[in-house]
Amino acid sequence: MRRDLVERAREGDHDAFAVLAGAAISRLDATAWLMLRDADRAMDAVQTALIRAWRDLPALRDPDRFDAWLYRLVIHACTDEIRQVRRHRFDVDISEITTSPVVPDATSAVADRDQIERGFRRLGPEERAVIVLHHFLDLPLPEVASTLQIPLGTVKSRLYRGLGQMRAVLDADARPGADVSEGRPA
Amino acid sequence: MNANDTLDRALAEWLREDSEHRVPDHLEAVLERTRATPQRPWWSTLGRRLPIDVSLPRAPLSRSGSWRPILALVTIALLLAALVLLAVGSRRQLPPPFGLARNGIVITAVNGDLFSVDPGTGAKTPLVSDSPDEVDFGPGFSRDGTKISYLRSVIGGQQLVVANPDGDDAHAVTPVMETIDQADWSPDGSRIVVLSRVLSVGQIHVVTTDRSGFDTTIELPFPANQVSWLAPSGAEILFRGEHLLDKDPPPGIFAIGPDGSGLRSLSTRPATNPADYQDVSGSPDGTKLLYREDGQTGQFRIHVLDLGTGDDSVLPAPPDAAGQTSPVFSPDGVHVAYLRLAAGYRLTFQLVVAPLDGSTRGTELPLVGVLGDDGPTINNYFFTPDGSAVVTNELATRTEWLLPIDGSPGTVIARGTAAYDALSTVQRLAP
Repeated sequence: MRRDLVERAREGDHDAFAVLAGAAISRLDATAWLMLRDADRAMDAVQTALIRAWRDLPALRDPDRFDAWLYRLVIHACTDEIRQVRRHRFDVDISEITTSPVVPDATSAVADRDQIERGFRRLGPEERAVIVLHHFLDLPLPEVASTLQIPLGTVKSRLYRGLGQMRAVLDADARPGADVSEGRPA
Repeated sequence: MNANDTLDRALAEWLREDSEHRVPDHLEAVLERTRATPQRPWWSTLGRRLPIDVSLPRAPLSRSGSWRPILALVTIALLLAALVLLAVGSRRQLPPPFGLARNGIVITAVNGDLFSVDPGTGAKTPLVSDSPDEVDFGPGFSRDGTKISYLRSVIGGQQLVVANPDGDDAHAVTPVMETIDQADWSPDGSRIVVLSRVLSVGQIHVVTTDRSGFDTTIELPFPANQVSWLAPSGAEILFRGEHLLDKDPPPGIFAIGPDGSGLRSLSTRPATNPADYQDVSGSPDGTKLLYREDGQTGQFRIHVLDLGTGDDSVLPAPPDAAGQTSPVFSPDGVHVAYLRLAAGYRLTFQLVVAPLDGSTRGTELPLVGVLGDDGPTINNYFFTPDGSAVVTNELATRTEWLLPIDGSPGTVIARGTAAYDALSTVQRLAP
């Protein structure tokens, strides 16, 4: 049924596309919100992605990849949004912090929402995208790689880097006097 | 349960809770916009251009029927002269900054900053590494190699910035625009033609490269795309006219003065469909244009349009090729780099360098791409100033390659992670 809708939309049936968009938009909105942390910009990104999806649907060769393609369009639109506004990059010297001998691991207790949000906000768009696709949309890592059209190894390294950065923030919060450096990558 | 499991679980829980009910309902607004948006035929995705056109100079020649006899005599004389030059082993001379030259430094953009790159070692030296709030990308050398331009993402959109090759004297030459698709330096380096997009409609601007802030917006009766200067004089701007809405005329190739006067059509045959006349590239000696024709069945053919006679012919393709697309001239105009499509259900593209006259099937360079969401995954390719190699971007891996035209293995210039990362430019030095 879903494949049939995609094929009809690909042939120019806007009613079929409306059904597909209606079924997908809440997850797309949630994805964009998590990426951008701003409702207006999330709406813009999702609108951009869906308009592009409708416009370029005839070029989609495999109808079964429609969902993955939509997610990719939303992630790309969010990345463009981030780039158009401002860019924050943070260097977190994970090795230096995690080798500290006496610090308890903050993640051994459930981190509170503010801590997680603070850590998440510090991630770049690439790390956010991998984390949202894997931990929010529950896509397996190979599917994340396929969705983002990047190698599986790159997905794993971004996930590792992103979680490492978040863990470093949580650990730093738990360590009195510890400092997490900020700056641009070398 | 270890710390990783704890963080994973807490993170997943937070993501679910945090994402709920954050964005107001806007489905109807989206559908209203999609209803007003025409779908593009599938083959038109090949025609998408990339953020910065780094292809080599384009060239002009005016057409006039009354001058044809004289033009024929001149052509014969030029042919004889060319034969003489060929006999003594000389290369055709083109006025600087056109023709073969020496390669200078390579500049690339990774992670929002510009770097000069040593192609031999891959070592990068920071060039423009300014505020963390700004993202710089899409560098392009001026034709004489004395300046660079690049795009800067800022609050509200993008700006085009001009600087010295060492990054000094950086200054914006455009206001903040929603999207800047292309930028092409004039032959004398005094101006840049810029293609901006507002709600998908392309518009041409001409900006000065000094600090005078002069900006001309060219008013056109239809959307524009694929802009460049007509070499070698730079008296006109070459562009593709787009057919986006029913009211727009069929697509075609046009020229117009940088002040907006003298609009004229260069294409000589009727367009086959709204995606026709793509990937326009001018020869450096000003005699020919290359472009891609989209046949009704999605067969891609490269055409050679003789600007002197108006003759429009098809570049020969080997019988085993399913099509050819996206041509770019070499600096001396002798060779063409393009993508050759392999037959089969799944579209694959091989980068090829072949003689313009089609006398051989050319050399296949060791890079194969597919049709991605943004067009072929091999894109933004151009010849180095000395004509010995092609620089190309491999979108799937965000890698910029330097590929010798003899087909030998290439070297990596830069790697990136984000869209538009690693796009590079090579400085032209006097021969």
